[in-house]
Amino acid sequence: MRRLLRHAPVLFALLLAAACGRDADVGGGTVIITTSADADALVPPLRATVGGKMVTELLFDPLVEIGPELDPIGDEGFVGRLAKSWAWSPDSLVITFTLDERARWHDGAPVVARDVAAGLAAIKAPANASTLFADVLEIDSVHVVDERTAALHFRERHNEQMYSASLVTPLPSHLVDTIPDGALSSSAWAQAPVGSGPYRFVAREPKVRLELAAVADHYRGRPGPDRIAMVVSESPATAIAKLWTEEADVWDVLPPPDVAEAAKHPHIRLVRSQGFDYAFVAFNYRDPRDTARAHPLLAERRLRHALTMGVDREGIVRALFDSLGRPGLGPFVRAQYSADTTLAQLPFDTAAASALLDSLGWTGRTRDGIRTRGGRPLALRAVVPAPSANRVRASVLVQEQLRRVGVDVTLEKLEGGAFNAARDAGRWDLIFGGWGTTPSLRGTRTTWGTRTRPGWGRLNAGHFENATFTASLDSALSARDLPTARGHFRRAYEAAIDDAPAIWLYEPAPVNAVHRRFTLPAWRSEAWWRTLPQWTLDPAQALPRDRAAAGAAAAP
Amino acid sequence: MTRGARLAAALLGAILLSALLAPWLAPADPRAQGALESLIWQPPSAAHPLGTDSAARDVLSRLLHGGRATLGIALLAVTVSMSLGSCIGAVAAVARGPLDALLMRVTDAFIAFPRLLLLLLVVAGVGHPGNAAFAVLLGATGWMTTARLVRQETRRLLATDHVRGARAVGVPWPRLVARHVLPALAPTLAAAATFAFATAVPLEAGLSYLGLGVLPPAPSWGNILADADARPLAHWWLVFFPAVAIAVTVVSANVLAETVARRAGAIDADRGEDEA
Amino acid sequence: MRAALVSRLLQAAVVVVLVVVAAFALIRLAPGDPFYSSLEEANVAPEQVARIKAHWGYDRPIPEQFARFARNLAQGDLGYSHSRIQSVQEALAATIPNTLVLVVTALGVAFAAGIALGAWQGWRAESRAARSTDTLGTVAVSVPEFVLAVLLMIGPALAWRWFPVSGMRTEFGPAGLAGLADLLWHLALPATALALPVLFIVARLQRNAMLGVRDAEFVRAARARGAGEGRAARRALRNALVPVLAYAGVHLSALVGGVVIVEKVFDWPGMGRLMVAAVHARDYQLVVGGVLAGAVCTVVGTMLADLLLLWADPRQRGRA
Repeated sequence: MRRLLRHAPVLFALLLAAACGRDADVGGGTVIITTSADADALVPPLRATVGGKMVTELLFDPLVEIGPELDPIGDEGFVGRLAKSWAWSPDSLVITFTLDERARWHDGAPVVARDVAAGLAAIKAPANASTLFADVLEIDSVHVVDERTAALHFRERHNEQMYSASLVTPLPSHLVDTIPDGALSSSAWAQAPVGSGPYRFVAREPKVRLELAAVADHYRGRPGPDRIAMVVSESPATAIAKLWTEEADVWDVLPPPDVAEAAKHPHIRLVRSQGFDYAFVAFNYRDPRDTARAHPLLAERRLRHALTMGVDREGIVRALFDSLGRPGLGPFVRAQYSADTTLAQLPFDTAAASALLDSLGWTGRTRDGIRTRGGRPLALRAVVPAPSANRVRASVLVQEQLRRVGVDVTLEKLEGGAFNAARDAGRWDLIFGGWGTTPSLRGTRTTWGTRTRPGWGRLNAGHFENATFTASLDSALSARDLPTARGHFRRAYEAAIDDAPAIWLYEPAPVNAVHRRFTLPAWRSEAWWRTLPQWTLDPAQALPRDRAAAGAAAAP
Repeated sequence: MTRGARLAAALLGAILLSALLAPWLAPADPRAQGALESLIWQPPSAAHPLGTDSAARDVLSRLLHGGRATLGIALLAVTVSMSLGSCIGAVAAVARGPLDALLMRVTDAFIAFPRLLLLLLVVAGVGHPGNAAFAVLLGATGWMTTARLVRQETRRLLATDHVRGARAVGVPWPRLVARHVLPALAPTLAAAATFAFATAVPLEAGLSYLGLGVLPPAPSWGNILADADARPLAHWWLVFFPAVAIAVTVVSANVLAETVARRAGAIDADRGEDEA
Repeated sequence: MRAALVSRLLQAAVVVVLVVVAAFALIRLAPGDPFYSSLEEANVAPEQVARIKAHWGYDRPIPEQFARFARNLAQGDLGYSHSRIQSVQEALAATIPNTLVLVVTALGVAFAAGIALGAWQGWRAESRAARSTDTLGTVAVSVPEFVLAVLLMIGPALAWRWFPVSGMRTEFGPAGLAGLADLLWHLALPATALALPVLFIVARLQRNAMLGVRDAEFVRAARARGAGEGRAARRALRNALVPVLAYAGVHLSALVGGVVIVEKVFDWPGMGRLMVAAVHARDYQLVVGGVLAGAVCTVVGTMLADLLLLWADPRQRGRA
């Protein structure tokens, strides 16, 4: 009885907290995200990496956001954020957004229509070199109708206008308008941003940590977790180790051996999600020494077929990902709306590959078994990005597999910047590329679209060209509804697979690890952090850092 | 020679010999990949005595061939650094005056520039060089202690009455150096070279581990270690065997070097040791 | 003595200038640029990158860029780090102390323990204990630095949980005195990894020097005068310190290589990690700023060690 009395105050507090729906003693918790890549920028127009996207989306709210169905066509699949409602003009070239009057910047100023204009201006300013520049080309301008109403004017109609609008994140014009062009990245505001999102900036140590705190009076409601910290480690292995010691709570994309390790730690919950990345080995259609000329070898479609058939994609996927990955199907991922798993793929068939190579005249052999034709060996140079451990491993496996069918592949590992430079210059025969995709399919124009069209194919460094693909892609992106779009995409993908511009290597199926003390809403595969504000902490499993956060949050 | 020194010499000789004969000793092609599903990351077994790595390649073969790369690079690097260092040191000692000061400042500059950073910058600039070029690069960044040592000893030797007398009589510099300095320096240099070799081996391994040295799929002791990087405990054989190989090589070289140094009569001489 | 000091300072300046010019040129010759060097940042058009390069002046000829750098440096401006989104000054101010803490602790422990160990080994060279620690030392020095670091991380940190896996402080950890304890707890493994090889090298040097001096005249004389074992040992030590300190001076910058690896394995936010990341990201201004700071530190450190040597061994004073 005495013991019960002694604990009475705590019990009372717990009861009270339970009644309020939030444990005052423990609070919403502290979420520590462990990562091996720091956020490259803290403000939306400047971010380019996934880490940057995560941080900027926690700090800044967009006008609208794509819903959990990930349907980018039209506007039914979108929910309002800073914009509580919108209206289309009759010609569909203008969308007028009405802002939520409760929305505030972290310094207390209200979010106004001019902020939308500031957001677009920051993306369009050439001196800012925003990665979003190409994605909002068709948005002409923002017209400030009144304090709370902004109209986005589009140059052309297409079926993902709302998606493009979702990329324009309003910025605090009262702070940003005074910053001269090109000085945004080095400005004080960009280093300690004032945003509109559910979390505000607290502190940052570059390449070490970043701390965000919940905005208690946020217009969408108080976020669950009180604090979010991002902790950066040098290598993924060290970063993941923090999960086991409970020094961190979340990690995305757990490699297979760590998935097995996670089973030994009862405090870790695994969440399977859909992947949005795919990797491939692209062929260069042009001569690396003179990109105006066709490639002496790879311009021949049957050679590309032979090379594709010589690679055991299933084996590579198993070696790299165990069961947590699947072979690529084409220039898309299974999570996108255009995905079609019934497409006919080129099989792994070394006999057929050899026969095809023989028929092309590669009948001679060097001492090492490499095929020759007219005395010249079948030798290709492949460029591999050193920072991508998966692609590096895949390249070694592909090299060996192609060697078995008599093709000599030299691997050249390059650092990030050097890799991008070499890719854009076309100085390669093969390239181990990879793209992170989005729910929107418009990016396909940039990555695989023909370079003869203005604004298309900027990242299509291999100069892949196919009339059917282009025409079908065009139709698909103008389709008014999902089934029509899918039909066009299927034709486009069939053309792509037949032309074999790349060996579609793999698509990782990420497994995320989260500490069990948090109850999660439905997982968002394309951006898991979007549901962070709805995470709830189980008070019974609270850690000391959760309590410390509650104490800090309670203090005035 | 003590028993320890004889053991060291024998071990070192065996290691060098096995590296030399690697193409004949290795049971498999170091780049040959086995069946991906079954043979990846297998611990030591009868079929693969030292296990397999991330691409199902036999570690024993890779260790033997890797020894060729690592030891070859280390030997070439030491040759370059000793030659370069001796030349610079001797010239500085003989020339004296402003040339001496300039060479010593250049030496100081090389010492002040962190070796790893310099290598990183050069590799970033020109891309990954081949093994030989890489060895030359290592040598070209590690000659400083030898230069200082040679300069100090040469000055001391040139100040002896013997040499001063010969100089007075008119014996030309090159003859003086060849006759009086080099033979006296030889044992010290031999010791310094062996110590340098003992440092060069783990250096190459460390650089390959950082991704700067021998690039996969070509094997080296360092990049076999790097293969286990993500999971050193689970894939212990990828850490253990190269580490043992490196350790045995270094210990033997160190013991041998100390014997030579003692012979040279310079127990507490500066060891000519380059950066670890 | 004073003339020697001035001449030393001038020469040190020359060295620093040489090093900075080399770094300045080398990093700009590497392909790539400070912008969008990560794989994910592929989406920016080359024209945009060219524009932002021009804005920062990176398309000017290298001598012109260097002149601008020198002008800014004269005004105390070290530049801006694109990869860290902060000024170079802030970046260095944040990381140099961390590396210093690590290196000074490691060196301090290594030298103190090494000198003690080596002196004991030299004084009692015939004992079995001394000989076995000698063997242990040889092995410890032969294991590559990173293997040592990795072993320390797997065992004491990952497997047995005696120490934290990585980092310098516990996230949201304590402040004040408890914070200092937290720091020391995080410092333990990286400092050990850095100190061990140096410790045994120093012990070896000390032992050899001690052996050489142990039976020297002045020690025998001291004993003859009735001084006890301890005092004789200490006199021997003072002389035997000379070569050890000489080692310290020359090999100061040698530590940088080991520091990089230890910082990488243990996620210690220091200069080593900073510089490697800066080179990978082609962060021109940060690389040059860091090399400048490092060169100044090394040169100053070498000078200090030389002065220490002059103090310890009066015989050297005449030469300078």
